Amino acid sequence: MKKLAIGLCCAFALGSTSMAFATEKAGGCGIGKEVMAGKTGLGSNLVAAILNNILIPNTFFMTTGILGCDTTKTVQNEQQGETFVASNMDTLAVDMAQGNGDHLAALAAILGVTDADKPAFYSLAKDQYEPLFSASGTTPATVLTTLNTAMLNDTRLSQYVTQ
Amino acid sequence: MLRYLITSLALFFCCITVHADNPDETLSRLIAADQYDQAVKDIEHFPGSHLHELITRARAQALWNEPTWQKLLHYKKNLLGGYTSQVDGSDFFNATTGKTNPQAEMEATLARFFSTAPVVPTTLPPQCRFIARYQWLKQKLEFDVSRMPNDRCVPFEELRDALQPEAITIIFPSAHPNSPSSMFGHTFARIDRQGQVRETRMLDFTINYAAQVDSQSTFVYAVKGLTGGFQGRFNVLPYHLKLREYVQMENRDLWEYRLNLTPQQVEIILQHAYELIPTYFDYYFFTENCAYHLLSLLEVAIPDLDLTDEFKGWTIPVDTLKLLDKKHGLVASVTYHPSSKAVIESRRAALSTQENILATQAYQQGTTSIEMPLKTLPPERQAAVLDLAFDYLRYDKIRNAAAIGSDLTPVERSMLLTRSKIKVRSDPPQIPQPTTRPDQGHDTSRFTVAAGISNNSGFTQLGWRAAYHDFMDPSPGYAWNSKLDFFNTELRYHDDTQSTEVHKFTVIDILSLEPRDNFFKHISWNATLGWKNRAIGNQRHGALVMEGGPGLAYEIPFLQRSLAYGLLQMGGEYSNQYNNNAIATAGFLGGLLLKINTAWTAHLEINTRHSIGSYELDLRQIALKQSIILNKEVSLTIELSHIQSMGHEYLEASGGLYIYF
Repeated sequence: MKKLAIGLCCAFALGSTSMAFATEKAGGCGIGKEVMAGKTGLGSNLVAAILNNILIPNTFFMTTGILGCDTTKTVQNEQQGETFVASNMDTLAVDMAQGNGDHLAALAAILGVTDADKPAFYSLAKDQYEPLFSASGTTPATVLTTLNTAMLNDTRLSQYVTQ
Repeated sequence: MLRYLITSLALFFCCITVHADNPDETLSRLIAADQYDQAVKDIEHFPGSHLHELITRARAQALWNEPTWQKLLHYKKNLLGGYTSQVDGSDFFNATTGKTNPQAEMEATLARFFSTAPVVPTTLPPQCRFIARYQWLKQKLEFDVSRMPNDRCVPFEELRDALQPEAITIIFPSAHPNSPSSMFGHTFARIDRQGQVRETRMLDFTINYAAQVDSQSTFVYAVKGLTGGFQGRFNVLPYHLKLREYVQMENRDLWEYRLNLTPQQVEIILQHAYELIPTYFDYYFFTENCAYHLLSLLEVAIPDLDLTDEFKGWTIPVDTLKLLDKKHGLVASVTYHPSSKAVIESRRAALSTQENILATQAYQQGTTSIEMPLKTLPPERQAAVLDLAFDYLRYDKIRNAAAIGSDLTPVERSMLLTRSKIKVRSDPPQIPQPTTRPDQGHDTSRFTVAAGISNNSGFTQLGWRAAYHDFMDPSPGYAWNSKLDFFNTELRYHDDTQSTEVHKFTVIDILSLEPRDNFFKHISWNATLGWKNRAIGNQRHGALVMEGGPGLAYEIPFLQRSLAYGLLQMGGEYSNQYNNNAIATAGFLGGLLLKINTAWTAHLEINTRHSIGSYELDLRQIALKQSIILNKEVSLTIELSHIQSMGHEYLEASGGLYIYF
């Protein structure tokens, strides 16, 4: 039975199903990480950076390991890729299995794949579905690594792999 | 003698100059000590300072009265003719009287711009923390940057470079009636990146105003939300997270309204959002909610327009969209993004009966259960069956999960693995945009004028409803299967008593009918709170009524948008007419909702109520209501009821007009 609260608009827009989004706690990569609570992989560093920079000194890009963020990465495609995969593992899996979809297209954009090469990218992702998602212990990092390896072996797509 | 006089005078003046403090140092000391109000108060002692120049220029034009300043500080005229800022975080103000004094706030802010000490609780210096104010004042008062601290704000620049803002789009997740939390919908802003295309929009960031709630009992939750008990804050999240939250999670259609703003306007909005993120407003559901504060953020870019002033009593998201589009022509384009429920319905319609059976079976029993029959189908059909089956799995998971992780279940994995081996690429379902957008629906307030006969005596009726939508209102732009009445007053002048009575005063009345089928298994429900004139025998008595309950609804076959429903009702009523002033009630609410054609809707409803434990209320009412749309603002309404109460029965009939405004 749904809550019969006289709840109108907005405050509850975050909803009883997603209270995690509403709370702001420090820790890990800061607010961003809590926002992503329940999802595997790195917290959203970009989000964390935007929110946390208000409270934390220095640069926009996290450079201190104390905050629980990877110190070698900056907010570039690579990290953004991992962030995006982390929060969209399921929808990406669906899109890859189906060979099409908005989330897969967004990932292609993150990786810098041009429009002309997108069909090749989608086909590759579909063919790689089993190694990408079926192994136990699949994490966003492994998804990207496996994807990158597959792309390296493809003449059209190897140019998009950052070494 | 004269020489002596001159010497001593010279010595005197010399000593004065030597011992007098350097004025600039004193001013700097005041500013370094966070004494901005004092610095302003004493400004005449520092006539050569740049701050003095700036304050003089500001005073010459009474710059604090300009709309931009008023909007940057969120000042509103209060009842005493003065100003109060709606911002409630004290860190937002630099003057001790900043919340109520625009001039003091401007001058203290100017003083603060000579400091570089971080503005707690952030680590940003004032030029950065109050970047929108700084940039505007810098241009208006012609700051001499050589006499002021370095104003480069690297964190903001990095933010801007990461966002690459080109446009602002308002996102409107449409109402999802089966959840009370989303009745009125919601609005938030998305910062569209330069060169954005449809697929990459999910990589954009959003600015969202919401109450910071913690787990509370439902009642406390409601009370706190209505009375400013929660803090409302702006937050920034990637759009793909919001998509998960709205489309997939809560099955709401998303509408994107891209605004017509110049790059300068987008910049000032981003700057102001940056200023607002660390602070908070007291959150009020009806008045200062997400839609309201989204407007208060946008207003700073268009100071000549008063957007928030249009909303005095309550702010309904769809009304804010109407304001932006119809009144001010600020909407450049609108895009529709269907909910996962809409996608499921579209996929189902594209499959044959046999294929639908297979999809349902795969969802219920796993992919292997349909392995053999699936292989007999051509690859495209196999793909279509599995795509629908997977949608069912996802929908179920989303509905039942307390929090959505992005992990796949083993059942999902196995289905996707099978799917991936079918060498067919899925096409996204082509779901046409509904002909009427939410902002093109009827106006949310409604006026009723009617006349009729009840129990052999005539009556005239006047009604006024603050918001929102019911079955008798034109459905385009709204959910057709739900009703939400909010502050609905009906007055009747009865010929028999020659008096005017409050026939009904509804605080809130929600009826959510979600049709069930072999997949969607929602429970329908209603909840009402208000004052009603109850028929008790041959008399009418007013009572405060609270009632509601669960039930089921089904679509009527072969008819579009028509429902049959039945709900159990339980409640309580309070009136000095009842023996102990109060009774508990039980009953039944059922009906048929028929959409005869685009203009004509008929609604047959039966409503029974019985007091529990005593014979004080025994009511059965069968009503046939019809409405005919005359035009966008006016509908014709006809009602016929049979009322039976405590052995008496009578008829009531009326006709009238609904006028939307």
